[in-house]
Amino acid sequence: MRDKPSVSLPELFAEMFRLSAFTFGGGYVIVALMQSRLVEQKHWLDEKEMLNLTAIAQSAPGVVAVNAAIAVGYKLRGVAGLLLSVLATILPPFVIILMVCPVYAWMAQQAWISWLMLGMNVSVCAVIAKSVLDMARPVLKKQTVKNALILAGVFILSAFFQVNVIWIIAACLAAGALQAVFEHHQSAIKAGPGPSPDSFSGEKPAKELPGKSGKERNPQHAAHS
Amino acid sequence: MPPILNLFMTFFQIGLFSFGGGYAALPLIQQIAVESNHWITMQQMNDMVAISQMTPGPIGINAATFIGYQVCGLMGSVSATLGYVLPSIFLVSLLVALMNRFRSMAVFDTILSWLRPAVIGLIAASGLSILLSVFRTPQLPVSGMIVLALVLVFSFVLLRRKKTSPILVMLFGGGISMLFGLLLPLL
Repeated sequence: MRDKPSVSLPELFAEMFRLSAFTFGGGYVIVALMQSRLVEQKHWLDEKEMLNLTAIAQSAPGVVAVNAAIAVGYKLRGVAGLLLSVLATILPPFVIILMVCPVYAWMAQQAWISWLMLGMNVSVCAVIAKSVLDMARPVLKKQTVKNALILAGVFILSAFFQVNVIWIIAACLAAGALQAVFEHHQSAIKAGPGPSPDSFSGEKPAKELPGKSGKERNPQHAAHS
Repeated sequence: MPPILNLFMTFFQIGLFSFGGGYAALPLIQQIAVESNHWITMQQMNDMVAISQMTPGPIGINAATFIGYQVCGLMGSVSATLGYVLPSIFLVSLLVALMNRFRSMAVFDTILSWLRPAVIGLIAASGLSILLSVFRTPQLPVSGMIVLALVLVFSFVLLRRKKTSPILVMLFGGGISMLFGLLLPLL
């Protein structure tokens, strides 16, 4: 796998533990921290891989931060990396909740704790802003208009219209699938009837049959809607 | 069913069916833990959310640990938390394996090409909502707002120019703000 440094299991555990122990707030905070630590400082992954793994973490059910740890751990060190990453991610909140429960009422009354939280949250925003800039740069280099529109559209829908994340992810999955079908269709037209030398090689004629039935279904869909 | 097994099974279901992360799962957790099973009271549920906001870690894990502990102590916490993450372990590793296997396929790559910019937009939106919630804190004095705005700028500069570790930057931000909070009554 290219020239990435191999990651030792204790290193992976320590890094995930540290990230989880300092992550206040939702799953995106830990993703921004992961981007900053694992991609930029440690070079364990590149930006595109991190975004692919984040997309998976977001599409699967469960806790986003844990899903991200599973995806990164599995990608870097297989099943052992996965299990250690999960353990490292759930251990800090687990232990802290068990310790905090009895003294929660006292903590809620301490002004300095609220100030500490406010300051940390503000710094997290700076971390997020920097990660967003770092991640956006390579993404906007190719297909700039399309990617900028998706990025800005999702930001506006999520930040100003409070559209649920599930619908946004589902819409992007559907749009991506539609584009893929459309592009496949286009390349099938360009190739013309009969076997032709192209990237699909020998599989091509066999694949066109289901494509035809799909074409017949399309007008029906249009008539319904 | 023994309560430990019941906790495990219930949180397994929550883990399997809650899309969109911890905050999206809270209504479902509340319905199951407060209304259906009477594991915790509504007051305890609110406390749990408040505790989650001032402790690190994902809110879903905080909730499973807290509720499990209320039902049957430490073993309850372990069983609820394990139940919660188990579906993710199978599903996410399956998806990563599929991605590694089929990434060269055009369809898969096209779908990911839509998800990548979308994920960045979602992260940016979450950053904005955190920032707004900080500056909309009730009874936050103007001097506090100025200090927090300075912390924001300094944190960003440290990250961009000095390449400081994000964890150090968060400790710096929290420390400055805490110092200000301690000094505030004296001003």
